[in-house]
Amino acid sequence: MSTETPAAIADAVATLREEAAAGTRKVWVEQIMGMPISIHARGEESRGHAAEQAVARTFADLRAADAMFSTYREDSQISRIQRGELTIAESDPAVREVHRLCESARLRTGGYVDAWNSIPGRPGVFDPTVLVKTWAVSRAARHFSAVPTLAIAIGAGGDILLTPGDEPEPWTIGIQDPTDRMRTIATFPIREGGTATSGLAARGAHIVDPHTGEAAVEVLSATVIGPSLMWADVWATAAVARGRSAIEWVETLFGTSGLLVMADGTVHRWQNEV
Amino acid sequence: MRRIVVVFSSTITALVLLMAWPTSTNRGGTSLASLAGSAGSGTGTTSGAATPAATAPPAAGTSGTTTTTTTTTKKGKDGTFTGQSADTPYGPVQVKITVTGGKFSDVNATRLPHGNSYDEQVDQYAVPMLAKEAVSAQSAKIQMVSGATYTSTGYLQSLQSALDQAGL
Repeated sequence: MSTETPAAIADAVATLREEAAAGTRKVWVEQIMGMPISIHARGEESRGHAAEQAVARTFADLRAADAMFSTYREDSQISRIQRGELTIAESDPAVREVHRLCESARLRTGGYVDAWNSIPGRPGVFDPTVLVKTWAVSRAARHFSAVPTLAIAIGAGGDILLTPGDEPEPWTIGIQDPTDRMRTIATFPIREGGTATSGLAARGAHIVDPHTGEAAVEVLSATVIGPSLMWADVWATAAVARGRSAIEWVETLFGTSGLLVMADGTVHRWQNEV
Repeated sequence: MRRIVVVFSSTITALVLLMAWPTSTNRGGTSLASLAGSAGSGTGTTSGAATPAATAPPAAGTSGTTTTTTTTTKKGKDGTFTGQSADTPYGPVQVKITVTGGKFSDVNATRLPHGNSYDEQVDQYAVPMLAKEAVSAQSAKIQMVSGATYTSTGYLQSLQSALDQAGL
């Protein structure tokens, strides 16, 4: 199906080259939370001081979130909670907010996204990693309200937050083909919202069905597009964890569209009204 | 087809949810209508004029990068420009661009991640395609890729900094 499709990353690079040459897009990348996070800005103000400041503040926010939530840092609040040294009630308001969101995610996914059942062999231990990244990106992006004319895209590990600014054209996003990382399987224009892809294409990311403890293998990748990046991320992870039943389940996700690439080679698309 | 429809009025986002298959040529007119009014505006088509920016800002603000080597000094002039090395969890990525006649003419990766076999597979396959396609005036306007991972982001980072140095 994708044989005529040009190489995905190459397209993105080619477009960046054109837009950078025309002075219409600027990119910043920093290494945070163990991954490169890129901020793309389109608009006349993309080379101005206000844009630089918003970028710096956004990255600073993300670094602060990493310090608070990283399970790789002994002194993070999450690590302290996991060791029993800190209670949720005593923790930072941001941790309490994420804790509530994790509870919502568990309920809204029928337990397929379960922050209390995500560490093998340690049921009950709270680990919000599944949604912290996209939660933090969505929160940090508020700094761009100071530069409202800019169209912003923030990419973090294959999940993307988008804002329209005053730009007449939407963003154009490709969806990676999980069976051939260099190809796109679909493209779509989007002005505002988020798109998240979960699945086996992300290196080393094994999604487990929390109900069985087994690795989910029936859905190669799930891409969800919706108004909220964090919820798109939660839905995409849940869809992979569900396996085949995701095909029916995604029809219940109001206001989203997306794509499921199944291990049997079939592709399922959906688009739900709000 | 099972489709649950709940109709709210207006307000809900300016999200355009028009999905188009890449092989399709009628992007604006598929049966997958958009949710918000401004659907069929299609994809970005007007950028890419080869107008060099008047001035170039300093190299992209990044951290965790190593130093930059520039083999030609004047911005907007012909020569080669080496981008910042971009760290990824799998190793550094660095690209070098060539500017000929004031225009971007070539791009090569000078550093790529090495590690497990997966990385090598990416190196040998993905990156030559990146280098080839980046200079071939691709018509597709895909700006970002949902699901793409680290090496490509590092590539974009290094490329942007090389373009900054070149004043392009």
